[in-house]
Amino acid sequence: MPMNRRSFLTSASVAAGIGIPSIAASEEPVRFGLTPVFLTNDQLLVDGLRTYLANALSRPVELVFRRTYEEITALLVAGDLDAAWICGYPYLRNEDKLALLSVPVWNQKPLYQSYLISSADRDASDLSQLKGDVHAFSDPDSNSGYIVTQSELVARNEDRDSFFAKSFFTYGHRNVLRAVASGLAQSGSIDGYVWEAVSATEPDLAAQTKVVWKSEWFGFPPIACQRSQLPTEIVQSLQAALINISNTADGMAILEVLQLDGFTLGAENLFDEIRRRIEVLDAAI
Amino acid sequence: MQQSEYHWARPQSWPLTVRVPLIAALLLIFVAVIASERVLSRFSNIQDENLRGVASVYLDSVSLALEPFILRQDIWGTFDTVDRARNAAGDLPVLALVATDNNNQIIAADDPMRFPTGTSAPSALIAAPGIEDLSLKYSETTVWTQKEVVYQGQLIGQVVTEIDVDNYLAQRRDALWSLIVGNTLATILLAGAGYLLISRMMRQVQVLSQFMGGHEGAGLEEIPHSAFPAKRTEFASLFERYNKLVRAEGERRDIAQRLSDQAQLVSLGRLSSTLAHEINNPLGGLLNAVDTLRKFKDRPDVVDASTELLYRGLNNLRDVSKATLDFGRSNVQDHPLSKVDLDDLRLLIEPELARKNQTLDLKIGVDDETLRVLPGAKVQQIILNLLLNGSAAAGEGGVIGLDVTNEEETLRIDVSDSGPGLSEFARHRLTVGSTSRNGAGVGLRSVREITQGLGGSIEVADLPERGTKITIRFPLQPKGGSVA
Repeated sequence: MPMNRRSFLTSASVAAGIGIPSIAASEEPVRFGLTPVFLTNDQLLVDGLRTYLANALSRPVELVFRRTYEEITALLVAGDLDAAWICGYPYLRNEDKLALLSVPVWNQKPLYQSYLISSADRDASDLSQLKGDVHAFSDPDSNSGYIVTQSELVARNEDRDSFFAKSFFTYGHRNVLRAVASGLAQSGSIDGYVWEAVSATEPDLAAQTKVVWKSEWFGFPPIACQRSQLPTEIVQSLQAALINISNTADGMAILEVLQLDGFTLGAENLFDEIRRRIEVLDAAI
Repeated sequence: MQQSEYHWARPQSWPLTVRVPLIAALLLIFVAVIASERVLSRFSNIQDENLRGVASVYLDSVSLALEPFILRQDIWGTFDTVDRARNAAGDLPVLALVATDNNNQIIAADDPMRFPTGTSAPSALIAAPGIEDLSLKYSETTVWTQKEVVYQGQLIGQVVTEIDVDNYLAQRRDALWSLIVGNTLATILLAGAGYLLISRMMRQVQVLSQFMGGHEGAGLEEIPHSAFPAKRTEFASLFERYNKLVRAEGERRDIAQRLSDQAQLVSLGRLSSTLAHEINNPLGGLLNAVDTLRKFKDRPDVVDASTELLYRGLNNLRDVSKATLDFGRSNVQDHPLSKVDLDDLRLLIEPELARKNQTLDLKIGVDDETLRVLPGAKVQQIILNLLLNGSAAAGEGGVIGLDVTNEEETLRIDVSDSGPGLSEFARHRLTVGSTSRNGAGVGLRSVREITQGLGGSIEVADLPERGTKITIRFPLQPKGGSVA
C-alpha cells in the first residue's frame, strides 16, 4: 500500500521524538542497474521491485536506468553499480570482471529464445523471407535482439550489411514489438520472453505481430555483479533476496507481473549457446 | 384601367408601389451581401491566424524534440517522438505527423503504414506550405503544413503535419448560415416596412394617376375632397393644383364649344343672306310665270312652258333649302363624308357666286370609299368657310378653286381664290391662333380648330400671279376619334 504524505510525516516525527536514528536514511543506497531486458515501462512493477529489495536488504535501494545495455554494463564494470540485470552477451564479453548473481526462471527453466517477428498478416515463416526489410533490432549488446539474428545471417552466408534494406535500434524489446506492430519496421529481432509476456499483458499489441522464426534456447539474461564484489555482504544479501523472492507475498506479486517463476543460481555453462553465437559472429569480422 | 398594362416580364411596367420597395430591398440585399462578405473574410482571417498560432506552437515544440533524432537519423527515436507528439497534440486535431530528412526522405511518421520509413515523401508533403502561409480553403477538410528543422544553421529536415480543419470549416459554415438567415430576415422585414411606408406615400400618386389617366376622351374629373390626404401635405396642394387645372381645362372646352357654335352661326348668318338672295332671285321669274299662266290660260303651249319654268324654279329652291337644312342639322350628329356633301357645297355657295358674278372651278378627284373615314359635317364646314372667305376676297368677277385629291395616306383639299391675298393677321389666325376674343375672324379660327381636332394640317401659299391657296391635309387613317 502506498504511504501517503500524512502517515509518512507522522512516522518520521515519532522516530525523531524517540531519538532513534533512521538506519535507512543514513546508509548508502544499494545501486541496482536495470536494462530493458524486461518490462521497464511498468512503473508500478519498478516501484514494487525497489520496495521489495529495500525491505529485504533493510537498506535504501536505488534503481538505475540507462538507455542502452552498454551504459549499464559500463557502470557495472566501473563499480558504479552493486549489481545489474544485464544480457548474457555483455556478461560473456566481460566474464573476467563480472560474476553471476542469479538467473530468472521462466517456465520452470532459466532459458529463453530469440524471436524474429513480422506483422501478423504477412506470409513469412523464415528469416530468408525477411530479406530487404526495414528491420528493428533491440540493442547492439542484446543477444536475442541483435547477436542471434546477426550470427544467423553469418551462418547462412548472407551479407549482414545488405540483407536488410534498412535497420535501426529501438533500445528496448517492447519497442521492437511496437515498431513492427505500427509498420515502422517490417520485421524485428526480439527477446522471446518479452514477446510472450506482452502477448499476455497487451494481447492487442502482440496480436499485430507474429513469430516468424525461433532460435535455440539460451541462458536467460542474468543479474550480474563485479566479480570482486561477490563475497560482500550487500551482494550476498541481494542474491538471497532474489533467490528467496518467491517466499514472500510482495515477491510473488512482482514475479506474477514479470511472469517469472523465480530466481536461481545459474550454472557456468548456461551461456554456452550464446558463446557459440558470439564465436560465429567474431569469426566473420 | 391602367392595371392591364402591367406585365411581369417588364419590370418598368410594374407600379411604383412595387418597384420602389423592391429597389430598397435589392439595395438592402446588396449591402447585406457586402457586409456578410466582410464579416466572413474577417472571420476567416481570425481562424487562419488562430490555426497558424496553434500549429506554430505545436510544430515548434515537436521540431525541438525531434532535432537530436533527425540529426542522428534515429528512426526509433523519431518514431517514438512523433508517436507521442501526435497523441499530445491537445486541441489541434493532428491527423498525421511526419519527419523527413533534408532530402525529403521519410525518417519516421506516426503512421508508418501510410508513410513508410525510407521512402520519398509524397508531393503533398513536399509542397506543404510553411505555417506563415497556412490558410483554410472551403474545399479542403485537411491541410498540410511544415516546419524546417535547423541545427546550427543547417537544414537537417522537416516536420510535416496534416491537420483536420473540418471543425474550422464547420464554424465558417455556421457563420455563413447565420449571416444568411439573419440578413434574409432583416431584409424581408425592412423591405416589408419599406413597402408599407412607400405604398402609403405612393397611394396619393396612384389617386392622381387614376384621375389623370382614367378619363380619356371624357374630359378630366376633379379629385373629390374625400380622396384628399388627411393632412396638409405636398400631395394635398398637388391635388388642389390639379383640380384647378381640371377646372381651367373645363372652361377652355366650354369656350371652344361656344366658339364652334358661334362659327356655325356666323357661317349660317352669311349663308342666310345669300339664301335670301337665292330665293329672291328666282321669285321675280316665278311670279312672272304665274302672271303668264293667268293671262294665257287657254294657250296650252304657254301653260306648258310656264309650268316647266315654275317646276324648275321651285326644285331649285327646294334643293337650296334642303342643303341649308342639312348643314344646320349635321352639326348635331355627324355622318361619313361623301361626294354628295361636296356637291352640296356647290349648291350652298352658288347663289353667292352668282351675286358676285364669280366662277367656281371644282375638281373632286376622290371616291366615297376614301372620303368616308372623315366626318362629313366638320369637313363641309371647313370647306364652306374657306369658300365663303375666298368668295369675299376674290371680289366681283373673281375665280374660286376647290380641288379635292387623294395624296398617299392623306386627303388634300386646296381652296384658292384670285383675291389680293390673306392679311398677315388672318394668316396668323388660320395657322397659329390668336388670343382675340372678339367675333372677328371666327370662321378662320373654327377652320383651324376643327382641322387640328381631326389631326390635319394647314398651309397657306401665295399664288404666283395673284391670289391665295390654302391647303389642308387630313390623315386618312385617323388615330383618335372616329366617325360616329
